[in-house]
Amino acid sequence: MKRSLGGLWDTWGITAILLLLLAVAPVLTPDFFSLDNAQSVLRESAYLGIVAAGMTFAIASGAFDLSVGGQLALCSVVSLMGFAAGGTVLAVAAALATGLACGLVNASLITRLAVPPFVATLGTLFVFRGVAYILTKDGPKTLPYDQIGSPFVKIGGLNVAGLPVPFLIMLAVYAAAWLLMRRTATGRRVLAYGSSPEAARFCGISPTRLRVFVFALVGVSVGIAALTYITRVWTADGSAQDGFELKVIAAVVLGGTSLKGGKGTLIGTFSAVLLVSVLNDMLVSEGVPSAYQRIVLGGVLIIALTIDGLRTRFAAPGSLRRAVTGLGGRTPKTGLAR
Amino acid sequence: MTAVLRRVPLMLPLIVVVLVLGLATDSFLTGGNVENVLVAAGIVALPGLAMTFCLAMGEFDLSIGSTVSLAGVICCSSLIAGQPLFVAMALALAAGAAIGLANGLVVTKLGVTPFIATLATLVIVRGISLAYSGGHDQIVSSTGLKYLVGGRPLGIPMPIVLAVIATVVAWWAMNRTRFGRWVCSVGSNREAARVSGLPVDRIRIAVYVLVGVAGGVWGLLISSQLQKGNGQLGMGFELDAITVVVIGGTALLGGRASIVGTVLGALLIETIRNGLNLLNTPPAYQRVSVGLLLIAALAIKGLRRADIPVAPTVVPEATR
Amino acid sequence: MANSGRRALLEVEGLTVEFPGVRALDNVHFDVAAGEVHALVGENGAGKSTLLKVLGGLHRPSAGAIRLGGNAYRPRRPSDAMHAGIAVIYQEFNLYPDLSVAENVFSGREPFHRFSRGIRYAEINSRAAALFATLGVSIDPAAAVNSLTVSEQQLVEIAKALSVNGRIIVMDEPTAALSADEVARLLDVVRRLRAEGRSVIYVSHRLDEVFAVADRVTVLRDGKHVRTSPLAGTSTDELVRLMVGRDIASMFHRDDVADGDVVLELDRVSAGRQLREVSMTVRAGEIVGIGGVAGAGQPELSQVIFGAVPLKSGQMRLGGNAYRPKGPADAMKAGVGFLHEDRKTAGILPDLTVRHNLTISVLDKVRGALGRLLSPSAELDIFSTYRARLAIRTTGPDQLIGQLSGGNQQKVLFGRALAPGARLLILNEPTRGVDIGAKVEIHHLINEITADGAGVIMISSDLPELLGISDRVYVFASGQIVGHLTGDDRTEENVMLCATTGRKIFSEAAS
Repeated sequence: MKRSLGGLWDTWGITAILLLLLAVAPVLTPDFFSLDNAQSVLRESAYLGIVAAGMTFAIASGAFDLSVGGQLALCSVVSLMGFAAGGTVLAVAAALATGLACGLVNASLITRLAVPPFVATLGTLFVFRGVAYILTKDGPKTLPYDQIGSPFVKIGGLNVAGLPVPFLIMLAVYAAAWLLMRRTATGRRVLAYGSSPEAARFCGISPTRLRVFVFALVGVSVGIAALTYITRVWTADGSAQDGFELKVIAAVVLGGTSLKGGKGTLIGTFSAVLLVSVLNDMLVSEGVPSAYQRIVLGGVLIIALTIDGLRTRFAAPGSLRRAVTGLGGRTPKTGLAR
Repeated sequence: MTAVLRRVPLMLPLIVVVLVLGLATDSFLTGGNVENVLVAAGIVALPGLAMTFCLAMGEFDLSIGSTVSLAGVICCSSLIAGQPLFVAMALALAAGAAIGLANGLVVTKLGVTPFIATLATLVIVRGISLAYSGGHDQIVSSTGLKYLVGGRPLGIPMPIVLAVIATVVAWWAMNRTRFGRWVCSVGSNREAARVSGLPVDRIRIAVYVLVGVAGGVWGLLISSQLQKGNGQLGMGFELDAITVVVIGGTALLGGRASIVGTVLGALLIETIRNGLNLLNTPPAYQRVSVGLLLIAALAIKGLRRADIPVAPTVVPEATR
Repeated sequence: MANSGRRALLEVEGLTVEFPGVRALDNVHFDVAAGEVHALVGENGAGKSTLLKVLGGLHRPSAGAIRLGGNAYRPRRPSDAMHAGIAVIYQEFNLYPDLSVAENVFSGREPFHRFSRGIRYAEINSRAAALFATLGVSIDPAAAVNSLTVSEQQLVEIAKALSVNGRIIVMDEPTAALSADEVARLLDVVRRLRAEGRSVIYVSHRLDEVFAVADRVTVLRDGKHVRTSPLAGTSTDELVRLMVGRDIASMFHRDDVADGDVVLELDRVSAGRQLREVSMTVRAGEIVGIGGVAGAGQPELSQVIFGAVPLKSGQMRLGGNAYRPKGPADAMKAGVGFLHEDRKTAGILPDLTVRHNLTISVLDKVRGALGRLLSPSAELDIFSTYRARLAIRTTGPDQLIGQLSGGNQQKVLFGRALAPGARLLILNEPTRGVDIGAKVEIHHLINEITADGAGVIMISSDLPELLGISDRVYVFASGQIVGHLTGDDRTEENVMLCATTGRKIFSEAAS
């Protein structure tokens, strides 16, 4: 009974908090539910949400990708360059291909060179950002105003049945991600690997293929997210979305996916993304300066992690370390026979 | 000689880089430039030494870059407010210690994963620093503060003096005292440390405070160099501090540490950075190169580990 | 101190430990005399570990009293236990692999120079060497612990216990990872400790060791005290009955199963660092036991057949065809099932449900109508099949596997190994850490598997088990086969002779 309640909280707790927040939001921010504001919140949440969906897989597999901020900047810059060179098709293709390439770079560092994921992606965070800086050293790339009629530029602003297109893309991404996680062999293997990499190996799961898949998936999700991002803000350079990785990880962990791997809830991540966006919207409309918004975001993350930490406190002592290093459960060295 | 090279793995790349730069540029091996490299290495070695303890414990502190900014802002704005220098510096160091204490408490008492906890403090402290500085430079003109980087006791630049003293103390503390051994014990097997009766939480908090204070020192040195503090300083510095430790050979998972390696790591990174400057490369490339260096160091370690055939695990029965 | 052997040094009375929802210990009482080896036995979950953790200061009792030398003993943390002279050696070693032996032995109690704060290394190294001398072994105090063998690490733990001047040394399953000769050496050390007047509380699943070394035994069952009595005049069967609470018809039973065709053939196979030029065969319906000192190449043998370690040289044939798996996935496809010896870190997937743990090896077969999507109902079918066949005791398909008892976890892993339709099953330590009731069930299951026509390779360090249910036994030493025992040659003496003296015994019938 105790466990099933806990399990229920894992999946739906954040959703309940979201609903609560939505219930009090109009009191604090009178025009919260105005069509304009609601659409803006949903549109704003899209790029964070899409990357968080990919990140849910990474964290469920017991690793995380710190380079998503650099990836987003790079994908955005390259996509804008693609648009300038060849219009909508090239812009979309460039974003997706750049995301995939970034993911594969991470994956090969991690699998071929055996660099722990969190350090590898901490390094590539700076590398990707650095490349984006280099590409924009003559000034940020922007969408030209005279192209406002182009279908690509419309992605960010268009609504279908009152719902912003970026949000619809996010819904589609979550539907696909949910199926992938819950109803495919690959998704199950991700969870198995996150739960115990060593045991997963003896279940016939290839650690290399699994990690390549997970990091490529994160890369592609960043590519998709970049499309909704640049068509919203119209400009990008190396500093775009500084600190993005933290927001993404915060959303996934808030949603109830445990940092120690083996568990992943896309419904939770979805709700947490909306929660963060709503919170952000409220802070902005209350006129809270961005310096303080950072403080609130960091505080929310620590609270979420405290809850996660308390939940896993009684888990095996090595599990947290595994979450930190992403190295996979290190068998106690003392047990190794010579 | 080969024994030294094997024991201190960074020696060889360092020699190679120095030789290459010496040949490729006219200015690298001039006295003034070598001193520049040593000063820069001394400045990054100080936080690196503290970070060595953190990694030896198997943990990370990512918040150090924000601490640098906040310490600088506090010191400079206190000076502007007319406080005497030592009060301003004490306040800055106290802020660093407080951040370290907060990290330590969150990590030990709330059970939050260090990596993410300090990522969160990174953002929070950055926010505080931006808010406190009001988003603009706190420019000072203090000869006393300037002495921290520009002073030359006995003709040796101050950062080098500080780094040498800190290295000796850190080496002794790490390798010969209970504190250092306990830090490695916690990194090697935290559960065993607990069962052996080591004050695990106090050790961990102490190390975070140490890193916090080192971040404060770093902030003072940067402010001394620039004669200002602002909310933007120190961005990405955590990467530098961790990189010098990791390329120096300290085990990522804790348990083993190399103080000498950290110092050589600082020398290597600053030599490369100095070389890139001399070769007129833009700053963006320097950031990229530090990232690549970190990855390369780990990759080499990873490849070495991969050479060892997989030992089948024979683990004492542990299932209940 | 030990002038009257019967005076109790440690007295435990009415000890009760409660965890949320569980009463791990219920009104337990027993006592240990000075200079006594006192065995503590019981099935898994009987409360032995909890009792040790109370003595070691890791758990606090909710009721009851402990007296040490007549005074109340209420440890609140591990250091309290150490100061009181109680040293607990837990099952999972508490050593720092990266630190030196001496640093490990004196961890937390290092003497240091007052002025420089430096640890007195010369002193701790010589004191550690002296401790090893009293144990009759020589281990370099300056060596790193991760360069030691498991049994040497065990001795470091014992030296640590002696260094706090432990009056009572508690050992939890000290022989779980040791080979037979190492076990013998350890038992000698225990006797030596007793001769010095120290008391030892010895916890073990292996009753032969208990009989070899202990003076008295206390049996626990379901957290309750069952009996404390001298071992003299007690029989193994009696102890087992007390532990289980019922009669075990026969500990080791092997059905008569007719041999079929050769399933697996190894021809001069070398792999890993250990395994050299091994040739052997396994027939359908056969249980082939593999014995020998721990780490003599058995893990490499099992992993090379399962494709988890690459083949260096030699040939393997499976069902008559050349067989060279590229990885475990390949091996499973070819019909090889595998059970890892380390259930906790390389067996169960702790965050997954029982159902998902069962089906992880057959995900390709539980695809539903939509092609690539998994079918929950097909997964449920597999769960129901194996739950019935293996008598897995679980609340349902969605219970997390970590919540099952060790024996039931092991059954789920058997199901996982069998599910792809295995014709060859490699079992590493199939009953390690499993209680006696489950052990009998698992032996029964292995019998059934062979009756269904599969071949079984069973690697076991539990000699009675190895000899009790295998049809033939290969003995390994330093990565090679040094014995092949069939029929009446299958005796503990022969296995030990081959494994430890280098003598080779090959039964006539076999060659």
